[in-house]
Amino acid sequence: MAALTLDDVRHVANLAALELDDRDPEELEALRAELSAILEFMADLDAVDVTGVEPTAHPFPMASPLRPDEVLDVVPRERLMAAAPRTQDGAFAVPKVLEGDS
Amino acid sequence: MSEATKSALSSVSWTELSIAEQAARVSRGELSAVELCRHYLTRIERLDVALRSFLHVDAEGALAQAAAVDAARAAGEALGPLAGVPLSLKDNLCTRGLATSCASRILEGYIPPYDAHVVERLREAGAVILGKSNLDEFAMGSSTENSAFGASKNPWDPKRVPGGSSGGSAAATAARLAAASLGSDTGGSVRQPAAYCGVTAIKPSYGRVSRYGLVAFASSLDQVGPIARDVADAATLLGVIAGHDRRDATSVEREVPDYAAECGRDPKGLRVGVVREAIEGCEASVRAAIETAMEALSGLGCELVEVELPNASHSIAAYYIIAPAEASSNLARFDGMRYGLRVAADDLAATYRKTRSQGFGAEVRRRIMLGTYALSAGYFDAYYLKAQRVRTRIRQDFDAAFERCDLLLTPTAPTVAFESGAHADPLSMYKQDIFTLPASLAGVAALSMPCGLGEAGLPVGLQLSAPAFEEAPMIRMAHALERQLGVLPLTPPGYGGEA
Amino acid sequence: MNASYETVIGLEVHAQLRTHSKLFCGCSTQFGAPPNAHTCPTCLGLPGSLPVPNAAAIELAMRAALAVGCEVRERSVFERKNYFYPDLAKGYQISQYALPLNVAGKLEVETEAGGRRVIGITRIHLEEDAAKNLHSSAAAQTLVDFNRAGVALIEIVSEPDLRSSAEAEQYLRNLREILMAVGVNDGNLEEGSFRCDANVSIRAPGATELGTRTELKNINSFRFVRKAIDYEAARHHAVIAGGGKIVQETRLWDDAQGKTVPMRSKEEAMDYRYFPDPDLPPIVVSAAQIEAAAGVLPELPATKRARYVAELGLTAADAGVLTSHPALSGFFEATVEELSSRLGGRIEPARAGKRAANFIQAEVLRDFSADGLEASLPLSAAALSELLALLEAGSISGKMAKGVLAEMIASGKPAAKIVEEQGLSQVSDSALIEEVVRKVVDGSPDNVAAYRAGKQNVVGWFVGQVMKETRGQANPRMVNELLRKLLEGE
Repeated sequence: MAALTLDDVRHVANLAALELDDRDPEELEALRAELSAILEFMADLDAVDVTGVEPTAHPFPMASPLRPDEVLDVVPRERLMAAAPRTQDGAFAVPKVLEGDS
Repeated sequence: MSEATKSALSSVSWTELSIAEQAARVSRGELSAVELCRHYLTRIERLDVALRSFLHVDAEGALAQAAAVDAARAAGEALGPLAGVPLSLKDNLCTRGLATSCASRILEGYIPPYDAHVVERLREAGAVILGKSNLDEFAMGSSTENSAFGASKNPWDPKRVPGGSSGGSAAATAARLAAASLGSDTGGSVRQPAAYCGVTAIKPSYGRVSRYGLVAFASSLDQVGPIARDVADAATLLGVIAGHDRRDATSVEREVPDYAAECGRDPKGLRVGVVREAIEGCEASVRAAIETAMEALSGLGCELVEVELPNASHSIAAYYIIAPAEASSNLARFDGMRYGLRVAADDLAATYRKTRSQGFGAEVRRRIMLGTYALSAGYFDAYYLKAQRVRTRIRQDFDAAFERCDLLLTPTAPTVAFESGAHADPLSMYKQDIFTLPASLAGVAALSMPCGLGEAGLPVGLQLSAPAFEEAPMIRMAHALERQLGVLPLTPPGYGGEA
Repeated sequence: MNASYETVIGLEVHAQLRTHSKLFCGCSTQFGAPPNAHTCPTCLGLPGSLPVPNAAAIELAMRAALAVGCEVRERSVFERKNYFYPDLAKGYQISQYALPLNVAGKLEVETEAGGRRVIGITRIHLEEDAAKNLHSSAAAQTLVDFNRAGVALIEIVSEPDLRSSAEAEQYLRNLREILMAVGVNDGNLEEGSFRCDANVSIRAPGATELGTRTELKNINSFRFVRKAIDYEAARHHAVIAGGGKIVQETRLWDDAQGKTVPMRSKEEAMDYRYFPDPDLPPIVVSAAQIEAAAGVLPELPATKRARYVAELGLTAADAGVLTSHPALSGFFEATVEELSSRLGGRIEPARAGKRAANFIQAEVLRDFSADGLEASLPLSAAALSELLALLEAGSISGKMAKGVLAEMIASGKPAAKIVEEQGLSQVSDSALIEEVVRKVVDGSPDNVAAYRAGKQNVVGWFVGQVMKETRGQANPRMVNELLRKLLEGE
């Protein structure tokens, strides 16, 4: 588990849609160092022998319950969209999407 | 004696009543729900300035709910087990029509269109919701210092933190600004603040209580838990909120025992496993209080055995990979498109980045980064998968320990409440969770109760944990121990019931 | 087919499942509602919402898989595919990655040489659909409608076994037909319930390694499939022949310009950070459930066609037409069965089949219409079989039958009643017909002479006269037979 580079930090920020202030290199470096230190601490896990052990995705072995195929009326549209930053003609208005697919 | 005098005299002790007793008196017409509600609202107005335990107080709504309870009683209708009981809810529980901010700027002013499952249960039971309690932003933290709207204080000492992430809930309960509260626990977030504030909290077994309407932090760890002044109240609340909910696929279909009825039952015969390593790993005053409690346990006829959780020390690393990983995905929905903050920007990509960077605080951004990294290509196996395997080992440790005992005992936290700013370094903050994390990872039931006062006269918390869905014997033991220790009532100086 | 390169195609089909509610919430899947009319906290990704899987979606996904010979896994896992896009409410799509529900099936296509090839199906997994982006009149914004968000989809991934755009089109037609036949998907390309992406690459003939591929997204009609794939393969060839390298990217088919255009490419391939969804425990289906699903699978179209040809007397062309929609094949089979039963089983299946097939194609098909899996036919199989029984018995002629059918459709009355009301019974009494034929023949010696002199088509005139005498009711076959006997013999 190697330490993070600044490029790593930028890549991760990009994946997470977070902005990094490139104008302040000191702050960027501080973030890098901080994240690195935390990740280095995770090397602690190397000490654990996990041969033959399955990962736990859910605490107890469960099978998902299934829902019957019924239409349920939950909440009226106006209430659901009341918190929208912007709407138009009943749709959510968002900054323009440039790709052609839909 | 005039009615006014009688009323004034008896109101002094309303906040000392158990919630069951409050509800009983309201149901019998001996206590007006509106009067009770007003009493707490007045206390909040007077005392919460110093604590900042509440983010939103809904005086109008609460009084209306209380009036409805009184009207129902007057009409001879049957009332629920929490009739008129004034509660606060951690502000990551969705309340319809009432602001739910998760202590974050990205949800500032957000009003959910629906109630969380547990909120529905409380309303059905006749409870009155005073308002929403402060927390670390999106439940990420152990001190409530990460709230975007200001930290809460510990009522025992304003220079100290109330713990986190359910700090507001614990502080309000301890200060008698609410009869009890609901918080959420992912890595210790109801237990540790309860320990720091001298109140009692339960982290239910994973799946015991529905997460529908709890804003998700780490989905495989989150549980809603009661924070109350004693075991009986915590048990009462748990009984109301526990049970299956079809809207949560991880909620289990198991019968809910009568938890409140466990209070007063004889715990003799229960074997308690002591994790010696944990007790030796904490501060002297904490250790002393725990050892006193252990003697009391023996006095109750409970056998103490030494057990080990060999992989528990790795729970910090495992948790701080798994929880941020799940959180990084759970918080992706906060993007400014359908609700919450949207920061105007040049294009779509910039809108996402600016909204999220300005909307989320530093700790949340840090955890999102960690989590994203842990899941990313090339690191998934080494971090996320490895951590989940270590988690299995920790579960196995609990399984093995529970073959030799019925309950485990550790301190809740290695120290008493620390001073604000003491753990500015994130890693040092994470390490404070060492005793609460293992039970979260294993999904078992756990409870924190005050077992005495430690350094600087601050409360010390004792943690019991039980196998999954064995909350009942855990409550039985805790209640008996509480009685035996005689530490309660625990009132922070200045927060007594004098109105 | 270009001899200088081999085209390699893999197809990914996204087919919406015909469930009433969405995959993870109880919102309606009905198409055509006003924007966001079918939404809830879960499909809008509101804080605190949670997904719960739809039992019918699991069932239909299993059925689709079994119909193409896939193995159904007893334990499969939903995973989160994480990326940011306005049509993705939660910032992740719930899909299946490492442990999909179904693996390893196959589909047959006919090659251009007329043989058959087997195309492998790698996997079929469940996932939720995204919202729809609508254009806005305002310049800098897009409108998003979440009605579609959360609808259950199966993604069917083929092995890169296809070798031409023709095969690709066939694969898609066959797949669509199968999904419709088993009631899983309504085959509606216009409404977007059946969508296809194609992965295209080329390589030298005989090479074993795959070339760099490009992905063509959202090919929404069978017409576009061939054009887009042919264009793209040629484009690959031109780039490589010109010394360049194919960039692995996603492209769209622009029908107006007749070419593929790149979508705005991202500098790096997207890292979706798949991990098992902690809100959803694994999907567990028992061996018994899988067996039960296999047990209720209806007969597949290819099997039907083979049976129609082998047992019901149809040509391959007939069979193709009658299996072009499940409602049509159902109608045909019911008609044959009823016809056989009306005739006390005394008619051979091949004869019944052929008669029904011919009549349906000639007279009923024009009134058949379909919208997805919904279809309407102008009359019932029972009613039609009654008409065909009369025809078979010789009680009415083919020409009469057309008229009776029209009246049946217009009035709803049964065939026998109409025949009776209109006095249409065909005369098949040979003695009676012979009498009329003799009368006509004897009454026209000139035409008889003309016939015997070689003018064969004067028979038509004689037939016409006989028909006039019998008001069109003489059995034409018998008339012809008797006429020829009289005209030639004696």
